[in-house]
Amino acid sequence: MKKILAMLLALVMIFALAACGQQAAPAAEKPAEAPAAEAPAAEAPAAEAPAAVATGSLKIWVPEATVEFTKAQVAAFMEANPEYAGYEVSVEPVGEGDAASNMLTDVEAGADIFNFAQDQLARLVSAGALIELSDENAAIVAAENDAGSVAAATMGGTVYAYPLTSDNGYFLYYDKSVVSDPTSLAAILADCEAAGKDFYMEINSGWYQPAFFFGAGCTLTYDTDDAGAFTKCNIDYASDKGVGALKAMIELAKSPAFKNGSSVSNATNVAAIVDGTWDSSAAKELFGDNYACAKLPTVDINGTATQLGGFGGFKLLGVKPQTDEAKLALCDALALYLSSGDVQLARYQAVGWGPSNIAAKADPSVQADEALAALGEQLSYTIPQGQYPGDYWGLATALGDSVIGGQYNDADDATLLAALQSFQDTCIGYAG
Amino acid sequence: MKRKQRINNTICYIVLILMSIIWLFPFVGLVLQSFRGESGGMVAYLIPHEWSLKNYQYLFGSGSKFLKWYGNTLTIALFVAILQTLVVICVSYALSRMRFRGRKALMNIWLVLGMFPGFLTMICLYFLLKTLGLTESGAVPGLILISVASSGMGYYVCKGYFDTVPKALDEAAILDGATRAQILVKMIIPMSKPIIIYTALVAFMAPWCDYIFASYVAFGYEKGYNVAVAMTRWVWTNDYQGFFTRFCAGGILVAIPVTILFMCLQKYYVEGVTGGAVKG
Repeated sequence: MKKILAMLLALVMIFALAACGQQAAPAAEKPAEAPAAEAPAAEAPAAEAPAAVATGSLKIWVPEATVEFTKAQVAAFMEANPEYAGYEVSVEPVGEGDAASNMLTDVEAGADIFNFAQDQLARLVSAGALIELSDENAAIVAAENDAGSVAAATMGGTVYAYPLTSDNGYFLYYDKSVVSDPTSLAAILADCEAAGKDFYMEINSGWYQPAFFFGAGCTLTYDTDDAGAFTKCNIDYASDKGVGALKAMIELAKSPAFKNGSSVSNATNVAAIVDGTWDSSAAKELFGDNYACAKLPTVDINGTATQLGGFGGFKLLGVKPQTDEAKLALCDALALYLSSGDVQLARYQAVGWGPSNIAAKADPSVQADEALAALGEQLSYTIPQGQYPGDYWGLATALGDSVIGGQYNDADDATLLAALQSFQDTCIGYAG
Repeated sequence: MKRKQRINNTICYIVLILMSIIWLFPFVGLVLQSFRGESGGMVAYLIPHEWSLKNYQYLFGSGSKFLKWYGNTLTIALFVAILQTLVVICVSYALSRMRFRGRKALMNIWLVLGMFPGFLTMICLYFLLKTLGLTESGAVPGLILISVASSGMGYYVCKGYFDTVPKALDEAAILDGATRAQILVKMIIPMSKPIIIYTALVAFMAPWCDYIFASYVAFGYEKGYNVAVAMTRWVWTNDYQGFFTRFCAGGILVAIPVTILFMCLQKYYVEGVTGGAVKG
């Protein structure tokens, strides 16, 4: 009897706990929608709920490097817009990759405004983590930013994010004292081999690898519907152009100077590296006075010197759908401010992120940046990186690994074509 | 005969020395890198060109939240070590000494449940903790709760040890008028020092090295990170340029308390493992 009573008591306690949990959560979220403050806010907002029109808290996720900058800009914004003074804004350092995966895990607990790379757009939209821009904000964004970045923030005709940068691409950093002619891959490799130094390019990455295929004139893009689902794959890797590009990769991998990699801080004994602007300060430190940048070199594909292509990429600022109209207005206004030309220019000066805003791009300090100049030149040979299925990246790594491993070193054209045909079929299989 | 032995010894030592070089290399590398002063990134050489303590200074400086993360990890690990040991002792004692209906079934169910890797339930647990407000700013109590809640299932080794303590002692104590609780506290526990230390050490190590749960529960809230989650970000070169040497320095600091703990308690550790295994 005693046991049964104890059991009943325990059950009652569990139910009581569960009931508390359910009640506490919505009460805390209604006014603020800010789970960060959930625990301490649980009792307080209930009393002030009717007056909670312009109070609450707002969470921003940006990469660590821009946390201080963003805090300062938010403070400036709040000062200029006292009507939002009731909101408490917190800025947390969360990298772009983490931000996207956290948002996909739990939109509700995620940040209200977050920084992400544009290749995550499709996933974020289909997870309901992004709210579309109002027509007027969309018009401002479209008018003030370069076409590539606006296209990157748009899906199915709707603008879902605020462009922050157009500096996410890759080009060549090199050591002037070693590499005499950065315009041809063969010449670069010859110089590196002669000096006993290495040429780094991460050809087993789905991001760097298309430099060869796109350069040769191949296509690989996916069409998505408004909900972010992949409907169609446009690819022609299994062609003479594709075989030519693959052969060029095999030739590169055969060189003793070749190293697979794309990070200056992880590279050793470098003479040249294909990398992006995020590594510019590390590259400057590494090469010292011999630091130089250039667009990607040309490579011999099927007998003609062909310019390497690749992806252009963009950083975007997204706003999470909100239940509270006043807070949404603040989020939109703040995101628009943080992505405006002046702030983009200030961001470039503070942390070196290359702007997407047309006016900021024309600023002399941006124009004088060697890395951004090289990237700007390279971007004209690239396609804006659209949406790709997650499986594509693994597939591209497998292809690159086979090349690096020497699997195709003695292969004839028919074998290479067959390998690319299988790659192409798999890519098509990811759509629909 | 003597010559043959000498040759054998020589070969053995060469193999052992080679193995220890391979085994020690990463640790030596870690220590040396943590004192490197010139640049923060990865380099091809092992011996720093410039010796410096600046990586450690950075960790303890105001620009870094390292102490906060370290404190979080330590808090979680200590609480888990204490609470989990208490739970495990109680469960083991009950299962070892008492006979009640469903005892066998309970032990079997726990055995089967223990087969599932804990992180299978990660998403469910995350949402459960979120409802209770124990994620993000509540990450530290949340992580303690996760570890302690499931700790009763790890009773095996401890119960095995208790089984080796003769039941006749219990009976003698009962004749003298001792209660079950008194038997546990006054007799079993003093005789089971090795297994208790073993349990506490194991309980301490799990949250000390935890990454998966910690990263989920903290959910981007930096002040709720433990060292593993926070420092992993330092090797992602895109956002953290030149943090590699700081990462090494942090790694050394993380290793120190565990090393000291194991050195001091090594004796009990071995006794605990072997003692518990006799009748486990």
